[in-house]
Order: sequence, then structure tokens, then C-alpha cells
Amino acid sequence: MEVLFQILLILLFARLLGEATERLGLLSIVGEIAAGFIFALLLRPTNTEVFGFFAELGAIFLLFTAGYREVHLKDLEDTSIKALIPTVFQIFVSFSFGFLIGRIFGFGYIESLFMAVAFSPTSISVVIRTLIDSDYLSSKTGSLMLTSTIFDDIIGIFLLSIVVSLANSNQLLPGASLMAISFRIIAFVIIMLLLGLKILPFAFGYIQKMHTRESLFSFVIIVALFCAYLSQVFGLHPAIGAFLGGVILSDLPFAKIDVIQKEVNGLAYGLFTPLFFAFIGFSVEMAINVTSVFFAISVVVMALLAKLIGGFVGTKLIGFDNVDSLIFGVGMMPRAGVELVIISIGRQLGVIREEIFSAIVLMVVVSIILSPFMLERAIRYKESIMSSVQEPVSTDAGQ
Amino acid sequence: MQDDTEERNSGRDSSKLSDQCKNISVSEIMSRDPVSFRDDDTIESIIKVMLEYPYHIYPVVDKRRNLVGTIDPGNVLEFLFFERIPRNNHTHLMAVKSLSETAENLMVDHPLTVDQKTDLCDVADLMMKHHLERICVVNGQKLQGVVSKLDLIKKICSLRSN
Repeated sequence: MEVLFQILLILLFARLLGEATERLGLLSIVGEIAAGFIFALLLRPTNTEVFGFFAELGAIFLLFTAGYREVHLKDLEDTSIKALIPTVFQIFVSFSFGFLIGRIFGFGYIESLFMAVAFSPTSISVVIRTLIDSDYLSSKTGSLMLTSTIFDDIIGIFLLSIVVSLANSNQLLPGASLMAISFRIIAFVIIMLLLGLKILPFAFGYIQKMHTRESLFSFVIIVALFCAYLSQVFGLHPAIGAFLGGVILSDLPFAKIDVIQKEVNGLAYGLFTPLFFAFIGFSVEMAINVTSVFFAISVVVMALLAKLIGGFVGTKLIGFDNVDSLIFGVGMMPRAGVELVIISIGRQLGVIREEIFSAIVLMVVVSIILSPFMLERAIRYKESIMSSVQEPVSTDAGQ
Repeated sequence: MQDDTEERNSGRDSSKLSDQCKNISVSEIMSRDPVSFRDDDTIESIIKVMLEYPYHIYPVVDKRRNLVGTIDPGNVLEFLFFERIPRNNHTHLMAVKSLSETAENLMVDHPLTVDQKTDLCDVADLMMKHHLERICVVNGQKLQGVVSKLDLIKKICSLRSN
């Protein structure tokens, strides 16, 4: 099949099915994954190199835009230690569950570590609509969910950096080598900080004066690609560098002018990320024959339970009641883009097997479908308890 | 023939105009006392002021009059009508903004600014290249004023008529 026609067809499928799932009240990711799955099922293409390359750019731009438009460094400064306890707890429990399930099913250490990292983050965007519709975002628990997920991407990327470095060495390393990996990560972060605090603010002052067309937009993309490349030089995955590249541009006025943001978003969400999600669906279809149903169901159940238990216990530790702790745990369940980038990196490095890949994609899809529904039920449950004790239905607003 | 003469004249005019504009700093044409908000102003008071004085952006300052951000009607519309924001844009940052009670949470905290000594050519370039309607003028971090496209148009018209 001609490459041009292939890309055209996948993008068209991804947009149409993405729109369909949006209208059903789900994230368009579900439709885009389905588009890749159906594409593989119907057409069985053989030459998918270009599709794969676009998908790789999709992973890079997905994490770049996560840093560029979603991370707000000021929010990190305002976070209290109290909010850190449930955050660290739910991530720790999810990480442990991921690792354990890998080991129980007989996978190696590195494979199990990749599962652990893919279990760890939360994508709050999946349930923001539910929180708003239930008038629960401003509640004590809603605010805690928001605070908790500030760290999610950052902790997820940090864990991923370590696991990718370990995977590149292809063995569990002695202390000295672990030190070398940590040193490499720290050196990379220092270069990024230098770039973000000193070089880029100075450089963008000149770049905005350039006469060539769209030079500002081009340089935002150049920074994304440069950071991606640099992280590869440091033995990390390009997507990790792209995320940090996005973070260092996120407070730079010239890089965040409305028109530039729109252009970057257009390129990322209009072209690359739908192809990335479609490639995930495409790869699942190719891997589905080797995936055991029991294993896949175990991954889905354990991944969702881990967040529920971790979130529940973590919030109980800081004095929340049972129902609020339950709501927090359910709110931490959804996974989306970052988790898919993590497993596609593992697959690309040849570290994780196809059955882990398919099981985690299934887990992401199930969590996107189930989480909003379960969160709404949990909030209704709380409201019914409150009205039964004849108190006004309130959401602790302003706390 | 007449067209050619006009073109030549306008060519000479425009280069002369650029030379003149290079020697004029933005502080000469900016509004020195722009409608602005304090970082602790409530959303209700912001909306009230916006409806009374419609502009494209409003500076937000702290108690020492340092510029800390900008607010535009788009930020307020998204705050009021959050449910219409496409689901894919439901980011963490959006959610935080939807809970805003004061200007500090709602504002864009990386505003584009120009120094008060910046010449009019540079300001015009910025506005035309990046479709900016108003730009905050600062001295260090202190807000000195706001310059708009209309301020520039007014000045350029007066230079041309001279």
C-alpha cells in the first residue's frame, strides 16, 4: 500500500473514530486506538516504517506538549507536604503492584519494572469533566486530586528515565553503575536547567526578530527535537528529553505566544499524536494472538485496584474519612497518554513482550471508560449518605 | 506614470517613517495609566471592570506594581463556560484555572512585555508578526503602561501628516 495513502487513511480513521468516542463522552484516544486496530485488521499492511516513524514523533510531541502546556512550575512550589503523602503512597503502591504482577507471571526484572512504571502515573484529564459536572472539583478531595497529579508526570518520567537506562544496559546493575546512571540523569537535568534559565530566554529574544517565516514556531520545534536528541545521547529515551524541553519552554513568553501555541498544538494533536495512538492500536492487533486473556484481565484489575488501594490508604493517613478516601482512590485510577508512551518505549527497546504491551493498552482503554463512571457513582454515594443524615449537599467548597 | 510617482513617494515616506519611528520610544505613546488588576482582585470585580472598559488584555500587578501577568476576555470566558472547552484540553492547568477566585490564579503568568525604551519599529514588528493587540510596557519588573495598535496607528498618522 502506498505510504501516502496509508497515512491518509489512518489519519482519517483516527479523526472519525476519535470524534465518535468524543461524542460518546470518552477521550478521543479510545477512538484513535480503535482506528489503528481496525486499520490493521482490515488492510494488513506490510510496509509500516513511515507509520512507525510518525508514531515515534507522536510520542515525542505528546510528552513535549505535556510539558509545554500542562506543567505549571509555580504549582509545584505551592504544594504542601500533606498532599505529598497520598501522592507518593498511591504511586508507590501502583509501582509495587505492577512489579509484583510481572514477577508473578514469570517476567524478568526489567520487564516487570517497565510494567511497574506503566502502572504508576494517573491522567486526571480523563475525570476532570466528571469532577466539574458533579461540582466536586473545588472540594477538599477534588483539590487534593489536582495537587496529587501535578507530580504524576514528573515522577513517571523520572522512573521511566531510570528504567530506560537499566534496559539499555540490559541487566540489573551493581551500585556503581546505578550511580553512573543517576549521574547521567542529573547531568542531563542540569543541562536542561541551564538551557531553560540562561540560554533560551536570551536566544528567543533574537529569534523573534528573525525575518524568515514562522521562525519562532520552527525554533520551538527545534528545541523539542534538540532536547529529544540530547536525552538520547545521554542514554535516555527521546520522549523524556522532549518532556523536559516542554517544561523549560512552558514559562518563556515568546515560546508561549497564543499563535505559536496554536501552531504547536495543531502539529501535535492534528497530525502526530493521533498517529501515535493509532499505531498503538495497530500494534495491539498484531500482538493479540499471543496475549493470554487471564493475564490481560489480571493486569487491568490489578492496575485499577492498585490506585484505588494506594489512594484510599494514602488519604486515610492524612485524616480523610472513608468515603472521601474512596473517591480519591477512584479519581486516581485513569491512565492515558503517558502510560502508552512508556510501554511503546519498552516495546521499541525490545524489552517488553507483546502480551504485556497489549494488556497495558487494554488497561488504559478500560480505565478511560470505567473511571468517569465509577467516580460519578462514588460521588453520588457520598451525596446520598450526606442527604440521609439530613445535611445540606455540599462539596466542602473553598477548603 | 502617476502610479509610479505615488509608489516612489510612498516608498520614500515609509523609509522615512521607519527612521522616525526608530527614534521614538514606546514610552512616548503608551497609555501611562492603563486599566489593570491587582493579583488579589476577585473574578467578579474583574468581570465588572472588563464590561465597563473593553480591551484585548489587561495587566495584572502585585502590591508593588510589579507586572505579574495578564488577563484577557478569553481567560474569563473559559472560566465561565468551562463545560464548552473541548475534552482534549481538560488539562491539569485548565482545571486549576476553573477553580480561580482571584486574578492570580486566572492570569497568564508569562506575559510578553517590552522595555520602555523599545522603539516603535520593534513594537510594530512584534504586533504584526505575532498578532498582538496590546503589549505591556515595563521598566525592569515595574509596569509603566500599555501600548496598543491604536496608539501606534495614531502616532504613525500624525508622523505622516507632518
